[in-house]
Amino acid sequence: MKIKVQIGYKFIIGFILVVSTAAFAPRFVEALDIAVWMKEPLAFLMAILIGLILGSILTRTITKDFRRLTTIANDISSGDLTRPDNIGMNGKILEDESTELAAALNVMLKNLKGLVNHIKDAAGNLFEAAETLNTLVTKGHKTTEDISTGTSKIFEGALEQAGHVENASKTMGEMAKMSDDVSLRATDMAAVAAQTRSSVQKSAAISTSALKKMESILHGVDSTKDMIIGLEEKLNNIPKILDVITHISRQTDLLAINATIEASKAGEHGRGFAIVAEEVRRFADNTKRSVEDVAFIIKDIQAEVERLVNAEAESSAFTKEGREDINKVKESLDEITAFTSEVADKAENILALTQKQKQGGETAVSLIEQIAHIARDSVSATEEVDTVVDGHKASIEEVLASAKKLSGFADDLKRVVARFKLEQGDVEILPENEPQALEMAERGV
Amino acid sequence: MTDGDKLLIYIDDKIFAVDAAAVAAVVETERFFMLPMLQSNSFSSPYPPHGGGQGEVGFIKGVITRRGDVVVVVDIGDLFGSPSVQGEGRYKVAVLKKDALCLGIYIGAKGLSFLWEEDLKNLEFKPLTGNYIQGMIDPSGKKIRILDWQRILEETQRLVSGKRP
Repeated sequence: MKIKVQIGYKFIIGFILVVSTAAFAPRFVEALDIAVWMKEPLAFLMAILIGLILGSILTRTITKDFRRLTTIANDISSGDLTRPDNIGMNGKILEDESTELAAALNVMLKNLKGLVNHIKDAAGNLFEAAETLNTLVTKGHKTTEDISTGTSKIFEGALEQAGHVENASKTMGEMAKMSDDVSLRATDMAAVAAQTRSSVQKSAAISTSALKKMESILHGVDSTKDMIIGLEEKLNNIPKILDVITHISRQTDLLAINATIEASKAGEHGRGFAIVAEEVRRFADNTKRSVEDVAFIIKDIQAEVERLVNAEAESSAFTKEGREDINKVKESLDEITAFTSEVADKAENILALTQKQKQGGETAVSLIEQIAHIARDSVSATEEVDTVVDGHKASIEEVLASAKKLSGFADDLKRVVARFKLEQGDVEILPENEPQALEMAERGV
Repeated sequence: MTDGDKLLIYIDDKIFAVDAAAVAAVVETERFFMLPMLQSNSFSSPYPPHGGGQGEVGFIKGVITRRGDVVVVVDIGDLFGSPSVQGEGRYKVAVLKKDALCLGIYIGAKGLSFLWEEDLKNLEFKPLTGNYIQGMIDPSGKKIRILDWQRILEETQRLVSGKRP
């Protein structure tokens, strides 16, 4: 049967026992055969000694369990949880607070063991989780960095693309403007080509008419040539006629001379006839001179006609060449007419094509402007994404730092928990910075 | 000597005159024929030729025929040191006739004219003693020499006959 006595009462009982024992000291000394004067101090010393001994025994008895429990508590506090959780006070007859403390210690030890086991498991899991998190966050950080790098490149690419698209837009604008210019020029060219075709056709018609007139002129020249040749032949006949006339005039002159001579022989009667004969002679002489003049004139005319014939022969050669040239000109005009018609048709085709090109250019400009708008939006979006990714990267870096910190905490926790030995074979592993780690762990840093 | 009409013959810058009554006719001929004796080297003439044509001998140009008569033609230009101007083509010859004898006087390019007896009467005749010239008249400063054609005829006949003077 267990009787529970509080320690205070035990102290009181002990005190009373000590005091009672010390109270018997003088009587014991009185019984001793010693000097009187020594009895009182001896009794006092004896009382003190008895008091000390008894007090010490009593105290030891009372505090023995507490010392043991303190030792156990110290062991527990030092992490030694290897002790069985049935701290016994079984030999104790009078139970006191130490018994309750031992029971509490048993409970605490048991709970602490469970808690430490749990914490160890949790710390291990937490460490593994922290390591995993750390790995994942590191990977995430790496991925984020890659994403950031990628988004930066995308951003740069988007910027470059936007720049290219801007340039392309400008270029397309310039091309569209050039297409406008080309279209205008093509319009002008088509108009000019049409005008040229009309002018060339008119010129061709005029040239054809001129060619016909030239043919008439050439025919006239040929006729003139025949006429000149005829005139030359007739002129060549004139000297013969003049020779005949000259001959006649000479004969007339001769006859007149002879007539004059005969008239002279007739004397006074032939004087009138002589005068007539003399007139006939003068007439013949005039005829002769006229014939000579005519001969000179005819010679001049013949020379002129000769020159004319030569000139006409030259002109005929020129005319022949001119006819050939005219035919060539006609052929060239026909070719030019055909070419100008072809050029006009092609100019119209070019005009149609340039108008289509202009429309295509306008469409392309519109599309390029849309693309430029999209590119600008893309740049803005990429910039935003880059900002978000940067923020995410910062967050990831914070998470990484936190994960590392968490990993440290888990490590610290493990180290802290590792101090609690649950089995006899458990070895406490404390790193070199254990005190600091413990201090940090205790401070919750 | 100033009787009758005169036929004036222009040779170079000189004017010669013959009696018109002695002129049988004025003819034209295309060529002169040369007598063989005239072409002989043995024939000698006191009158050097003045650049006449081939076969010419002295002042004799050659011969022509007129109505069957052989007419010796002389160039009085050669005879008087005044070469006559050659005409073109045909030659004009004044045929003088006395009895059966004929003398042809070659007429140059300048031709012929007449001086009538009425005009001659008013002119002064100056007789000359030179060969073949009877005298001279001078109307208006133009010296007209009246030929002694009969002496020329005689000289011609003499030359043609080959007689020595």
